[in-house]
Amino acid sequence: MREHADVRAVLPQRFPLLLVDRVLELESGRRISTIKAVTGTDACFADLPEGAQNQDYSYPYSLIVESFGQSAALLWLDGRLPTPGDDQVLMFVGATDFSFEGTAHPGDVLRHEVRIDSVIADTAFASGEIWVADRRLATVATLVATRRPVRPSEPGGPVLEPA
Amino acid sequence: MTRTAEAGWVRTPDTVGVAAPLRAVEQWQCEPDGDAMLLTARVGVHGDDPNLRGHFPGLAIFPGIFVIESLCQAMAHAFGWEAAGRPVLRTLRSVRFLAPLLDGDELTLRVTVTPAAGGGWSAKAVGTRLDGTVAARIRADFAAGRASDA
Repeated sequence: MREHADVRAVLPQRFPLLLVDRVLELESGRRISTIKAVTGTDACFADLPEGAQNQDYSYPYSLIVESFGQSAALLWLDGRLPTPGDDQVLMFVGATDFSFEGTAHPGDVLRHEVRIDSVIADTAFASGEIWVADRRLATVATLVATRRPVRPSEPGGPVLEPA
Repeated sequence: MTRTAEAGWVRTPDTVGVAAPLRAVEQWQCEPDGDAMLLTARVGVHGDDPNLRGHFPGLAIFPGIFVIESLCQAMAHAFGWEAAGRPVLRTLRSVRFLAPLLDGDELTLRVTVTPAAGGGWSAKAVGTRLDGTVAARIRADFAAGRASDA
């Protein structure tokens, strides 16, 4: 599992919220290194007015968190493709001490270094760092993800069952 | 669902003006509470938003990270968008996503903001759905000033 087609096959997110471009390294069950290239044509820049300043092009922190979370999901899923009929999705359910030391702009390449610290039942605990080249952007003490069933309900549409 | 702006609420422009995945606050209000500020922001969950079409195809769920985005935008609405003083997220001390927000729902984010020693702000936010269910809790620290590349 390395290229974008492999990433798409494993993760359920799609444009504009599929935020991992490529896997650089994967040590099964232990660590992963991924990249997400930030470009001026990313959807988050689409509505910027003419004359916007460079600081207005700071890549949103929320999307940096999502990109890190998807990287953690790729590590946990370890290349496993979705099973037909499986009604569970991997959900980002929490984090502690996700600290930002800088930001990214178009032209930067985010590199996520993620470790799995533990897996308890269907819940995984990960940590790591985010870099742009040799500049550290963020440290993550704990990110928590779990698998939860999604099922259609009557009559209000699909719901997520509580953890 | 999007409410019309009610008395005491400030309706936000249609576009954010800085890089953002979406307009994550549609209206907001704030009031002082001693040394703290009580900040409330609302945003509807619109299943036809391109983000929700990608999260997930066939099942629109408001991504948890958009609650973080709502908090960041609410802080900027309350304390200013000018780059020199705009609140900049420094640390998500604790984030918990407790219940999903689906198409047609609305997030109400209630934030208690206190000045931090040495500058900036600490924010404690609770996000609820239209049915009153708590969807998310966030504790976060913000600095005042432009995002650093350091």
